[in-house]
Amino acid sequence: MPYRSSRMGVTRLSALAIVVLAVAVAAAVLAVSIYLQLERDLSKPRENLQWAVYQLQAEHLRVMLSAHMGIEGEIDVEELDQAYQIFASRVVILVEGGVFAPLRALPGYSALLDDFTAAISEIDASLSSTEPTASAYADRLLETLPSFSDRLQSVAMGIVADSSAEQTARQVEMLETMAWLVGTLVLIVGASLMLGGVTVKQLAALEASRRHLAAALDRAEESSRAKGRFLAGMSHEMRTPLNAVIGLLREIGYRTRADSIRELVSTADASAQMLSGLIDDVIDTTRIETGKFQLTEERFDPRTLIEEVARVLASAASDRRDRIVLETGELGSLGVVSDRTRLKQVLINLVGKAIKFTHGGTITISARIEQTGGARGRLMVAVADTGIGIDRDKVDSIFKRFFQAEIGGGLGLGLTISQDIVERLGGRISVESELGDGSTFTFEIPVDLVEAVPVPTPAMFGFEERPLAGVRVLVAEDNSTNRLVIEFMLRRAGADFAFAHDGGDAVARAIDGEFDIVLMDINMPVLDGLGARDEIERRMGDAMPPMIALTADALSEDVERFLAAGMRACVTKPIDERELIQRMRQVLGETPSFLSRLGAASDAPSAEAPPVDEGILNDAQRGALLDLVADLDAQAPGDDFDESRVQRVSGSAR
Amino acid sequence: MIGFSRLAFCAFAFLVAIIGAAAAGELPAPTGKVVLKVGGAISNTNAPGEALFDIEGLEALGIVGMRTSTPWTKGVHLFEGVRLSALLKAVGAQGEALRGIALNDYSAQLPIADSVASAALVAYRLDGKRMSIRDKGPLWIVFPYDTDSRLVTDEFLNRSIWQLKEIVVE
Repeated sequence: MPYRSSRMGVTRLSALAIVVLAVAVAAAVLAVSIYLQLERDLSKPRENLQWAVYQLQAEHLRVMLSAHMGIEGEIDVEELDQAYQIFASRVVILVEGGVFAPLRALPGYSALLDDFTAAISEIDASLSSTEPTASAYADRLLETLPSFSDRLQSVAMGIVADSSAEQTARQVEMLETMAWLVGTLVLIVGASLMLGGVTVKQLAALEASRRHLAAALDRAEESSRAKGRFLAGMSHEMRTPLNAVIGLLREIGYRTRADSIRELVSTADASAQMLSGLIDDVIDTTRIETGKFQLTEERFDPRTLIEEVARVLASAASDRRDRIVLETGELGSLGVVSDRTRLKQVLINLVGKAIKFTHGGTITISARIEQTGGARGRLMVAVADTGIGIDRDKVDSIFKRFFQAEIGGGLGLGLTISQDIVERLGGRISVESELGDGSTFTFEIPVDLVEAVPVPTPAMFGFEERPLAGVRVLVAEDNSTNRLVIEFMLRRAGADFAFAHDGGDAVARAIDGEFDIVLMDINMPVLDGLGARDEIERRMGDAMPPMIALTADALSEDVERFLAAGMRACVTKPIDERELIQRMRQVLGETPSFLSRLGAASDAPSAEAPPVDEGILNDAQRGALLDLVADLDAQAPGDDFDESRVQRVSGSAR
Repeated sequence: MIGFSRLAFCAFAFLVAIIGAAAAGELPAPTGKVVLKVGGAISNTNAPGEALFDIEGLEALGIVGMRTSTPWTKGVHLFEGVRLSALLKAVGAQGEALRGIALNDYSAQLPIADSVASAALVAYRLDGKRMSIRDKGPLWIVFPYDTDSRLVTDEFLNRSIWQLKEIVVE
């Protein structure tokens, strides 16, 4: 409603403005015409007609007076002639002068001038024949001239009346013009006032609606933030139980002897992994929105990264009878510095998408490094598939959020996140595609180039049956399901372990028992993980065992905070068994007290480990463990993993 | 207007040059009939406190011709006379204004600077003939009315004194 009324206001306002303008122009024209009229009047040569008649009358009287004086002998003929000549010249001027044309047009005056001219001619004629005396001259003048007195007087009076009437008429005319002018001005002022009023009202309405809009925007933003917070919170909450589900599913897989059950568990595990990935995407998106998305640089070998991605997705590809081909020959042997984890995320996203939209085709991952000068370079990666492709008019919007949701697959966040990561790394991502002719996603990022990075040997524990045999572990974890998951992992690894249920408990047990390493959950009741660490350090000093933080908050700034607080490493939940054990071994390998204890024991931990507990791990379960290693590699069920499907990975740990 | 001013200035300079000698000394006394009496703040005289001119005396100051129409006559006429500036120079006028007085005792005031700049002429011949009183003679202060519309406003028309007999420098 306010919008409607304001629109009407605008129309009214325009009309009013046009009226004001028109009136103002009219007033200006009127004023200019008055000015021009006055100027014309001023510059026009005009003698005052009344003055002219008065002069004539005066000269007439003067010549008659002179004539009387001539009769009396008071003046000579020369003086008398001068007076007469002056009078005559006056008549000539009035007869000839251009400025006196209006005078000659007056009734009665023209006849008077004619009669004067005739009289002067007569006088001239009668006087020219002789040399008259003053009195004769005077007599001749007085014979004719006095008869004009009355006529001259009446004409003079008439002119006075005429000029005064004319002046009055002019004044009336001027008054009328001025009245118009004043009226116009009043109209302008009135209209301007109305215009001003309407404008003020409009501005007030505009301001009100602006405030209204701002408030609505605030509400919308707040609502959006609340939704984001809810989404992030919910995703976090979902991760913990999901973590447990994944851990327990795997445990079932280890324990079962029935292939059919193991197959079911594999499928359930794959689904749970997928769910976990989706939740990660949602959390990533929230982080991107809130600016909490941080990058951590490290040195790595891009070829290994790509091979890892291919391995992870190998089983998904085989499910859809797709072949993954790697073209990493141009990478050379240089290592790069960038965010490996995020790049892996991008690659998994792109290759995962390629697999999803390709059936029985080929996915080619090609990569090369282009040196741009010095130790700087560009890492360029292309993921090409032979799948269904993308409609040309949809190519532009493919990186938009929820786009994929529109074409019916997933949340549609993956490409958005990938684009964001690549752009945050200072690079570009693009896509080329034809409907029915596959798609090629290409991204390039600027990187620092370093010497070849030694590839860590995943074989460190790969097939080792009990990689942590003999290691004494204290696990501080308040969540019982998580404790169960960790228990299974540690048991499989052959570690000795004890649990603490909160921070205080952890401090007490750490001091009492002898542990080689502590796994410390960060969020715990009574005393949180960092507080517990500080307390243990205060009590034990240098004898404190090394600690690894367990956290659900995978933000890099959190990880840095934990490391700064004295944690030796950080493992994020859901806990990847392989990562946990690798980290533990890494930390233990750097711990002199453990190494010396190991040395004192004169044998390797695995050798010294107690014999396999038959109740925990039988042959069938050992088989399952092997499967699990494969699963962990592939992040998906991989019973029928076929070496030939992954090219150029022959040098890897598998 | 600029052209007009420049013309006036050139004429003024020319006249100053040719009558410089006369301006410095005594004026010759008139031999014929006196047609103009100049009084007031003047330094060159030929009578007690006055400079008297006959026609020859005026002609000796240089004859200038000017063709113009006037509001009081029919058609264009040739006026001949002496520049007002030359006349004032000759009498050593030292005032700001002058008062012109006619035979019938009509008088009007003329600011000297403005009148000189407007090329005022004290005319004594009209179309080659001496002006009688009836022809608004013997002397008539005229301006080149056709060259500048300002000269046909009341201000200058009032200064156009005919039947001039006397000038008082004030």
